Amino acid sequence: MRATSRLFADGVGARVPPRAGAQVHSVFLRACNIETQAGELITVVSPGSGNLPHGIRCAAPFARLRQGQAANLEGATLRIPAADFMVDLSRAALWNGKVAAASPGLRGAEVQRALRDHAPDQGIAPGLFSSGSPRSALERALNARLAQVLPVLARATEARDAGAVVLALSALVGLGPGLTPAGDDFIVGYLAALWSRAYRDPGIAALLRALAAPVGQLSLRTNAISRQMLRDAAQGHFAERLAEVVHCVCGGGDVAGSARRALGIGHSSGADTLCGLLFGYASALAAS
Amino acid sequence: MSATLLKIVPREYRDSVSLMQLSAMLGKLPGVEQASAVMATENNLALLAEAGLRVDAKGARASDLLIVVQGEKSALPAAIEEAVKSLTRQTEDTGAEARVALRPRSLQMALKTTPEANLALISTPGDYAGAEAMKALRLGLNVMLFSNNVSEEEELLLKRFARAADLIVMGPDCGTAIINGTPLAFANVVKRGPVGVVGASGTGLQQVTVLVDRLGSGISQAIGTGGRDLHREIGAISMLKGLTDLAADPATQVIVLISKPPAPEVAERVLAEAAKAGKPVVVNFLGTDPKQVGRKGVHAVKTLEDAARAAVAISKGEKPRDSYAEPPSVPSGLPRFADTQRYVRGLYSGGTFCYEATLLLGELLGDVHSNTPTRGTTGLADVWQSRQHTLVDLGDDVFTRGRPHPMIDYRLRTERIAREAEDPETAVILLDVVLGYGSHMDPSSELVPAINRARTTASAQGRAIAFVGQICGTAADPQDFARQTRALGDAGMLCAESNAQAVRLAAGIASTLTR
Repeated sequence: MRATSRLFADGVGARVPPRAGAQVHSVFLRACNIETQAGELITVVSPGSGNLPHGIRCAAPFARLRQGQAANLEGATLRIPAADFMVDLSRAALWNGKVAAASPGLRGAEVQRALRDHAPDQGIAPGLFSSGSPRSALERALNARLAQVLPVLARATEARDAGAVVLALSALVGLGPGLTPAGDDFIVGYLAALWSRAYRDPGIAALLRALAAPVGQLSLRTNAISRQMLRDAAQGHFAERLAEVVHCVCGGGDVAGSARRALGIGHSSGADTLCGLLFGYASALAAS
Repeated sequence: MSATLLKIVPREYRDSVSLMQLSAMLGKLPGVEQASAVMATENNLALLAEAGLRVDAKGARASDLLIVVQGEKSALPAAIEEAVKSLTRQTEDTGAEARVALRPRSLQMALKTTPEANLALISTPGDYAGAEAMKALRLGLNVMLFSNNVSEEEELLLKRFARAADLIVMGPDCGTAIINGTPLAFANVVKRGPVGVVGASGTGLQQVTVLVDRLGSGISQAIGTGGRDLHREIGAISMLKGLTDLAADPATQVIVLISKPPAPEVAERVLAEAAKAGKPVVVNFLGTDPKQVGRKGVHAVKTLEDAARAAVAISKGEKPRDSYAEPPSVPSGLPRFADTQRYVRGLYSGGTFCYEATLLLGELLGDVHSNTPTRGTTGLADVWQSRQHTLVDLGDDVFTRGRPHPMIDYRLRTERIAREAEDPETAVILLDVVLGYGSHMDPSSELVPAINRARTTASAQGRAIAFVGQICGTAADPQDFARQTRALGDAGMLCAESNAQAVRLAAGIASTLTR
């Protein structure tokens, strides 16, 4: 008989509910998702990853977890009895995932350089930053879709026109390659840019208020992992790796280093998110 | 006429890298023109239709995985079957992961089960690598640090600690070593013998060890140091340790030291120690004048090939030559080039091969552009675009972010071959093909179709391209050296014995063209 592993989480997201019945939704090499009965997705990631709004950072025995195992969150403890594993959240640092621009200036060029130099050959970045031609019909179609939608989204953002923004986002949600489709990552980056400018620009703050519910609705058109990410982003909560880039771009710090760390998320998710971030800044600031 | 077949796998969550690999694998299957593995969202179904992959995915939900293949109708069921098998294999791999619990999960645990171990190979993201390396050193282990992105300050700290403990840190970013006959990371299967090598360059070590093997001799130890070891800040701590150890090793009769140009004061320190080694030392500091390096007990050479040949000669009691280079020669039976064709385009997977080629080609032809520029050659303003004679290290970070190294994944290179073939100024495409552990298991299967396609492109425009390359491998390497050589030779590639010879051959061809 195996003894139950009692682990201590290093970090816990502010959006993780205090109590919930749940079950294991999906398992990866260094992460797993746990779906609550209310439909929220809690992501347990290894300590080397960044914090997430709906995340728990700990050295969980991911290899012992299986889809469908029952889980329970109560009294600052996450338990998965079938895997003999419990995580104590009581000592974990809280991650609130809010982003705010520390200064009115932007250091986006360094992110752009990182994307140009280091973005993978899949997703949105190659279409925006690579001089190479698309390698497949699907990539061509993705680029064509972006060429059609992004100018519309830019104009809608400049005009602070929530209805038009939602229409453009509806053409991006669930779009493209990846576990979290490239379009979803892009939207998260775009929203991070807007949220970080919100308290400096009342027009953006109003736009974000108007977007919250529709983005929640749009998230139903993608998979559960993306859905949680979009819902958190619509409420202004972001992953640590992305928040770090925002902090550096809009304030001080190592922009290139933070961008490189963000690019390490997934295969192309980090790059697609940064594309959305830069796009968000460009269109949000165009009318400022 | 091309057909489309799809498979919906319900509630299938695979990480993005797995999905990308699955698409790439399916796209390479015979009869498959294009393939895709994406989440079955509404927008992705529309995107597939826009891409010409019209699929009837009724009932598919955003949480399902959609696998679509297009191509010859008869080939598609097998492709879908292969996709399903691949997903099952991945699941089994995850199952196997469960058994990893029985494997050691820390260096301490590993030492309990294997107390005789005296070396730890560390390959973790750079942010953690330094800490792991320090743990290993504190446990009394030598370290091979494969990871990159370890800062120079951390490297110095580790190497100073190691020196005080009489240990060695090979790395960071050390990709090649052969210790007690065991190839580590990217390394070839070579005979054991009297030549010991210390190198601050992975492919430099591979070239020398391979050539020593092919010349009938063998390697006692091949010790990597990491590319920054001979920087002023590090002071060659690992190279000096390797030199001392080989000097004391009874199995080593000749020592070879390899590096790109070291800081002058560091070079002096290394050469002074080499002269005191009590054994003959062959030195190849690429890009430095051998006459300034050589001294009593130290035989300096210009190329990696010369280093191997000199070491083998010395081990046989022969007097080494200053140079083994033959003048550039032009082979017979070359294709008929068009008037526009003038330039050599080198597409390298090995950084040191590219660097050495830039030096040699610059001397022979001048006006060479490269992303690993040397003194007298020019940097490449846009690494994606060749101009005049261009040599590109495709293993550079700019190219490898988010994708495997070009020694493993040939797509970057085959795409660039296609692009160079479209350029009317390209006359010669120069390649390195690295065999051995860690490298692609069948490089010719990637390069031969790329060469054929390039020839077709050029021929349609009334041109012909010469392909020149060297295959860095031995008969005992897992890729079957003879088969690779035969396949590439049959495809028309002129296969040289070494990188230096391949460069001279390319230069010989280019020099016959109108300038």
